[in-house]
Amino acid sequence: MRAILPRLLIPSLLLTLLVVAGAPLVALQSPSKTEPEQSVADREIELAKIQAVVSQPEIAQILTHHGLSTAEAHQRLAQLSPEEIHTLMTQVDQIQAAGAAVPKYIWILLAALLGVLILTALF
Amino acid sequence: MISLPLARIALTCSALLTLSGCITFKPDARQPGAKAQHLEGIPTSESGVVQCAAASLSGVMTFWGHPISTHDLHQELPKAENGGVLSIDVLLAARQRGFDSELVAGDRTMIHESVEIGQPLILMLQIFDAPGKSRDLFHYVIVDGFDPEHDLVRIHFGDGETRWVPLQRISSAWSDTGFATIRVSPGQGPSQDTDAIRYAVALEEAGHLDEAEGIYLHLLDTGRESGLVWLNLGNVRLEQGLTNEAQAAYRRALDLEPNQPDALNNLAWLLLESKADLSQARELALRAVSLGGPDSYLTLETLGRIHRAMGACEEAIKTFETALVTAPSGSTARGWVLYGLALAQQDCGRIEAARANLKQARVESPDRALHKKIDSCPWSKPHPP
Repeated sequence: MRAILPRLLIPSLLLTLLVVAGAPLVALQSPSKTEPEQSVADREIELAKIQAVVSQPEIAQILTHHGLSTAEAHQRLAQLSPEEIHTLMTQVDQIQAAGAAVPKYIWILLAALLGVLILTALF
Repeated sequence: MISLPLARIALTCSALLTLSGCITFKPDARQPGAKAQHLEGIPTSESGVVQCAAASLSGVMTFWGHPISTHDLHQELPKAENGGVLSIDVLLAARQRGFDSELVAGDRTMIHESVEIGQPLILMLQIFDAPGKSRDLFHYVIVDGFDPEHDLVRIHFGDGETRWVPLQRISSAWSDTGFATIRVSPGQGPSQDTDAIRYAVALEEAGHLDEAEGIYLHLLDTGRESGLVWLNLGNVRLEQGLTNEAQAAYRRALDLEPNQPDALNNLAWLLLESKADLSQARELALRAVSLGGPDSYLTLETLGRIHRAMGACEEAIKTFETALVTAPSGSTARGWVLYGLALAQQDCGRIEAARANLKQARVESPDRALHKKIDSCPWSKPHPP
């Protein structure tokens, strides 16, 4: 028994030492920042201005409904100030695409209407 | 005298012609009163609806002394799925040319005041309200005049003319766009990248790594390279598990800004993690520490871990203890510094001090990952007698 114990203990201790020494070194890289030389505390303040928008992506979704990819939508929004994005969140009607060509069905409807009017006028 | 049927035909033909000219409604022009004011210098355009975004922006830029052809602008402006141009894109196109621009909810007062100070406005109107939302048609017009006496506005509809029309006549079409109004005026040059970087960092924090990466790459592709952009891109790549790409990004950040503590720290951290080159990692971390910076405990913590990985437990203890001086109390970071200190103390055989610091690390930080690490230390608690 006395002989067995050290035989088990030594490998266990060695294993323990290896586990501890080789433990992954997690955690403290410098986080991404919004400005050079920014403190972590200031970073949190800056991010708080925009965090709500990013966690509630309704505006990005509205842009994707206009045919933009998610990445394109975020690229657009990234160029606006937090205040502008917050304003847009309350005025989503302002996000429209103007200048689309008149759809074909309107031409067809108008042609039909014109035909009816001509027939009415003639007969 | 035209007969009624002929009048109807004429009316419909007029509507068709109007549509072919891409103008769905042209309110009758009114005669402005003596108090009416309007701005000179905006060329009339016959661009119609399809090029209304380009024409409106071109008109306003020309007014401000920076003429650009409607055709060229139209080619450049990104198109939405329906072929139109998003209000946001008009806004951004102006900024890209060095103008200040904003999208706001306009009203009568804003029009009046803008004309008085010599500022034309671009309004977005809904000109066709189809069932559902996706087929509605919208049109940009320029407003460059106001008659307070008769509540008339002078509008460029894009049909080669300007006309004075009652504000009430367009108010419904305008209200359907949330009174979308774009103000463009001479600015200070292209917009700063602060907003874009802030947005991308927020995306990172929310776990949208691909979207954040897209923004950083866009900044780089558009010539807005900086050490900060490369640092953040490196962090995204690291989160994505692309360590080689992350390392390349940190190195590029340091090419641009050799004394950037964050890039030095993260490259050192990465080299330590990969156990690729501990000597270089230590050199980088020492440089980062010597530069100081607002959160020196981050770089000190990295250096402490490197010392420990190199078997210099006493150096590691000193470094972690220095980091503790500035690590904010009650923070996750402080918990990790205490954990590193405990490991270094354990390396040097100071098991009781190490246990005390592990206990303190658990108290300081609510980070579950840290608690898991602490629990995995077999010496964290004294063995029962």
